[in-house]
Amino acid sequence: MLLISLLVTFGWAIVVPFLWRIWGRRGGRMGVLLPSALFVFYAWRLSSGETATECYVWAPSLGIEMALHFDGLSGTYLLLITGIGALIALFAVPYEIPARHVGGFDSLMILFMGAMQGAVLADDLMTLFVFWELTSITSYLLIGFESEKREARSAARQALLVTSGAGMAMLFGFLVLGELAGTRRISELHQHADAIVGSPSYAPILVLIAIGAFAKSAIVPFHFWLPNAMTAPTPVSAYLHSATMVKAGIYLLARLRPTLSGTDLWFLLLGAAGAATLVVGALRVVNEFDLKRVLAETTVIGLGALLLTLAIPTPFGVQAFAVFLVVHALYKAALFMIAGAVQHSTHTRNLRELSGLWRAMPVTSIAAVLSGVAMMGMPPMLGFIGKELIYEATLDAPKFAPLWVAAAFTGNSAMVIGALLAVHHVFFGRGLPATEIAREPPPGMLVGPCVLGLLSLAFGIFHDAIQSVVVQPSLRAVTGAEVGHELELWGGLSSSLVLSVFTVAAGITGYHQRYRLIRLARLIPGVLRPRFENGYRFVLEAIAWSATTQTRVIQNGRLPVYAAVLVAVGASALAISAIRGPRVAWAGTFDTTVADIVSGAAIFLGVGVAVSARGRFAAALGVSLSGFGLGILVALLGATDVALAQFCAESLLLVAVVLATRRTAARYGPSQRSAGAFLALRAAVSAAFGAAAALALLRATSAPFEDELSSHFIENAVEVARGHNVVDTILVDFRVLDTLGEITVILILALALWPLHRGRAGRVAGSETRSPP
Amino acid sequence: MTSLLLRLASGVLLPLFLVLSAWFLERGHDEPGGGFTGGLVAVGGLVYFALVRGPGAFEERLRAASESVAALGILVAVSSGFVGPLFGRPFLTGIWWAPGFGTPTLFELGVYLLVVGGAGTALLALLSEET
Repeated sequence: MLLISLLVTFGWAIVVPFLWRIWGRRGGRMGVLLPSALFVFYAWRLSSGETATECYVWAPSLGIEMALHFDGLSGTYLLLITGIGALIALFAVPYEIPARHVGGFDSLMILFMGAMQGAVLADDLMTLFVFWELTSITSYLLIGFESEKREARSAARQALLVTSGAGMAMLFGFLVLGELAGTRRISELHQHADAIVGSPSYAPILVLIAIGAFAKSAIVPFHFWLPNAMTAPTPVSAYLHSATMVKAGIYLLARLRPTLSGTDLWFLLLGAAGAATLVVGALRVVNEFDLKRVLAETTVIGLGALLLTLAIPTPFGVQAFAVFLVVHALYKAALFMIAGAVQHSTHTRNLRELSGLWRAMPVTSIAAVLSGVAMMGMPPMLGFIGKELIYEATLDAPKFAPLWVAAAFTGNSAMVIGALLAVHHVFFGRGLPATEIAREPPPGMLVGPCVLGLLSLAFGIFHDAIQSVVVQPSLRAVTGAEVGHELELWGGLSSSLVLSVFTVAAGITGYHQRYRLIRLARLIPGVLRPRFENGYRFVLEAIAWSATTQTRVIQNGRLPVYAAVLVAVGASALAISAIRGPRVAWAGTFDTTVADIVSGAAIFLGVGVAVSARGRFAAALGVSLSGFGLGILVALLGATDVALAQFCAESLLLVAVVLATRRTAARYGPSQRSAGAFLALRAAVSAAFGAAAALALLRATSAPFEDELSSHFIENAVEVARGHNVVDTILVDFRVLDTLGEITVILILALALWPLHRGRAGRVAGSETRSPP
Repeated sequence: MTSLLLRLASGVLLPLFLVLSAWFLERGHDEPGGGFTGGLVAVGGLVYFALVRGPGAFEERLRAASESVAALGILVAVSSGFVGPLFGRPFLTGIWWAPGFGTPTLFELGVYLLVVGGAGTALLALLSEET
């Protein structure tokens, strides 16, 4: 069932564009059907409390299997992915996206949904990696969807390079981890936890995997890509970059927590990164004046908080993680959709131009208040419980508790500031004339924020529901036990409650003294200034410089040089293998037939013509002649198939060369001055290649002929591959994967030549329309 | 290249080339031939046709853009590989439905289409360089 739900999602990605094309917006709304159905399915699976594992053959020779595992943690994520996905799909229908009618956008969103489901369902490290990278790629395409915008392209590239570049480190960590544990099944890894943690490879494994996870989840020092990704259409920001994809890194660490945690390294690495992210995000949020970037910076804070809770080695930490995961996804997706609605109505996201929208957009402002209050962590919202749990977990930390509490306090206060900016300022601030034209967005855009806001409220009041359906199963999945606090809105006068009160007070003060905070943040070096981003730029520029330099040297545009280098390298390779081969023992005989002599003469004649020719056309004919001679020789030796292919390829090659020579000078060769040296060099290279090839051939035939493989093919051709042409059975059956690779190369070549063909045709057509009659 | 003789010859030769290529494709599994050779023969006929009647004639005869034919070829070839996993066998395992017809046949057809489209695109790129 799990695999089917994945396949159905990917299939839906193909169907959705047609819904758009046939029924327009109505068809777009139908796109919601599948995510909703999947949500119901996963909710049913999760509430039944059963885990499930499915395993399919994928690449058995590489030890890779398509293993899927459903438990409380993946179930929680799946509910967020499909539930919020359905609301976003509905929200996105009226949202203005260029070339929307083609349906590519919605297709990509569903494709991402499938990839994300795969990532959290994967039970095999390689399966996880494949889906993980697929989310990076879909994210790249979605951030850069409005590809005519320069900043969209560069943000997309940045997100892709940062996340998948770090993904390489993660892959390496996976491989070492899999080798060490002797299995790549994630659900079996924790059985080997002691051996893994005790091994000297433990620290590299953890660091490598953490790099991948941190980059994906925009943890310091990779935090810069997330706010830049806000150039994406708002449905993308709401879905990928607040509720789902950015939480994949956190997911991975939660998933591997049973295997890799329990050490100081885990605690301090994750804790320090989480705390740093909380503080850096807090400092950056006050300096943002774009509504979506404000929300993005608070997402960074939220991700830092999630990481910090995972670092803390108590079950309370995991419980805080499970609750805050849901809390954050609910309010953040809602606020992003509200930001999209505001932009839809006012055509701006600039906080300097947005204020006092509540008169014009009363329903939107109610939804905004619900989510804003949840984000501030005020009772009776679920957000309050989440924040309380974060404080309790940090207070409970075995080491450096004050440090974690201080980081959490900073981050949470900045959350309050962000919520006030996004809700109080935008909707209830002093009205600006520019916002008077605003009106309520279409109802489809309001469903999501309203539903999510009400859920934040409902789960806050009926928190037992979330405790039993989501939190306990997640706890069981991550810690193996169902320990944890009872969720409660009123837990008496505790230190966490006092902290909460101070948090809100600090946030409100900070909101009113925002410009002082900006000055304060500017004093701290490297936080507001894009120091980390400069690192990224430096790497990028270094790569570009090195590529340009290499290209200038290697690809100098001189065809004779290319040919000479290629042939010389080939000659060296052949020479090395020939010298290292067995001794040459002449085993050949000279009982040649007339036909052999004729075809051999054709080869020599062709070579002679090619060498002595003064024009390209004659030279091409000469080369072709020797090719045909070789074909005849091969045919005489009994390799009909090879000869046939040789003849066909030779004919077409001749056509291609002749066509190409039409555009080059008829005569070729060097200028008179350097003619001698040039010819000598060419002759030397050619002779060396010929000699090396001949020597290699002699060596090869001198060795005792190993016919195990060929007799295997011959014996099994009819029986296994059901063909009498052994060459063909090798091509399309025994070694078919090789053939697939080869024809892919042909396709790539064709695609590389394609612009030459189409581009020219287009230009010709264009010039025709412009030319005077 | 508007010689009447060439025009006539190209009209007669093209069907011959195509029949020959189809024959190569069909018999490839048991006799000399196969998708690669067959594809090259077809391209040869089409290119000759296009040489005489202009680059547009190639795709006019093909009734499709050459790169689409190449893409269709890789699609057919890769799809034939996924039949194996449906029956619980590894990717690209040969599955036979009837004597002489199985996934290797489909794969061969994919190679044929890919060669027609791929080599066709390459030669058209050179052909249309005419300014």
